[in-house]
Amino acid sequence: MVWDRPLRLWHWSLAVLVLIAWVTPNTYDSLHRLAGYAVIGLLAFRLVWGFVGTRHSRFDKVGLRLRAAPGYLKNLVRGDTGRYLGLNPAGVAMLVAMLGLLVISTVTGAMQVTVRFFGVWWIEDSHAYSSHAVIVLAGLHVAGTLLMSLLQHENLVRAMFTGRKHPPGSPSPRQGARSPARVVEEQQAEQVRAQQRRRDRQDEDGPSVVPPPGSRPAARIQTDPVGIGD
Amino acid sequence: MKVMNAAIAALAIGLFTGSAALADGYKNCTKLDKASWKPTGDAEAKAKDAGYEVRQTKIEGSCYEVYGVKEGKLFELFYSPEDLSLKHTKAK
Repeated sequence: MVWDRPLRLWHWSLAVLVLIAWVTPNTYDSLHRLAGYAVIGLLAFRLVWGFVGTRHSRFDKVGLRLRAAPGYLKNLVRGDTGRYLGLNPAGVAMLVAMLGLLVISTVTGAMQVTVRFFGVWWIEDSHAYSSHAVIVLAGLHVAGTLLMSLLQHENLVRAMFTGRKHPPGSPSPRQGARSPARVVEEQQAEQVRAQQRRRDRQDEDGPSVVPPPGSRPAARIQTDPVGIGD
Repeated sequence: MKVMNAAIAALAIGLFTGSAALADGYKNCTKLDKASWKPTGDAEAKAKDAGYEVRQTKIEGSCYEVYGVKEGKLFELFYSPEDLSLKHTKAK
C-alpha cells in the first residue's frame, strides 16, 4: 500500500472541488464559495495528515526531494525516470507548488467576500492569478502522471484509486514478451539495484539521511542510472 | 521534448481561454462607442448618492462595475457608461 485511503479520498475530492471552483466564478457564486471553503478544509486536513499519515503521505522527505527536483528533471529529459514508490522529486515539487498556490487562492478568495477586503484590487488579482496557476499546474500534473505511466509501464492513475504500486525493482506487469537481450539487461539492472539497496541500507545506518552541508543532495540521483529504491 | 512543450503550451492556452470564456458575469450595458462614455467618476458618484461606500470601479464588457458596501453587505453595481442608468445589482 503506497497511498493510504484518506490520502486517496483527499486527492479525488480536491480534484473535483478544484474543477467545480474553476467553472463557477461569477456565474454560480455560492457554489464557487462553497467549493473554496471545502478546499480550505481539505488543505487543513492535508497539513495534519502530512505529520500523522502513513509513510508516503508524510512530509518528512519533502525537503530532501525538493532539492533533488532540478537534477531529477534534467535526468528526465535524458529519459531517466528513476524509480520511486511515493512521489518522485518532480511530484514533490508539484505538491509543494500546488498546496502553496491553493492556500493563496482560497485565502484571498475568502478575503474578497469580507467587508474589509471587498473590492481591494491586489486581493482580487492574487486570487485570479493563483487560481489560474493552480489550473495550469493541475494540467501539468495530469500530463506528468500520464507521461510517467507510459515511461514506467505502470498505471499511476489506477494507483491513486487502489493505493497500490509495484515496488521498485519488481518487473512491471505489462512488459510482455521479453527478448533474451532484454532479460540480460534486466539481470544487470537487478544487480545494480541490489548494490544500490546495500548502499541505501548503509546510508540509513549513518547518523542522518540528510547530506552534510557542502555536499550536493541530488548527486546520488544524478549519477544513478536506475534510480534509488524508495 | 518538442512535442511535450507544444502540448503543454496548447494546454495552458486552452485553459486560460476556457476560464476567460467561463468568467461570464453581467457585461452588456451599452452599444455606444467607448470614446463617448461618461467618466467612471460619475458612476461612482451615483453609487455614493444611493448610499454605497465605493471600493473600486472596473470596466466589465460595456459596463461600469462599481464595488459598493452598504450596511455591511457587499454589492457589485453595473452602470451603463452611456446614461449611467443602473442595469444590474449583484449581492456578493
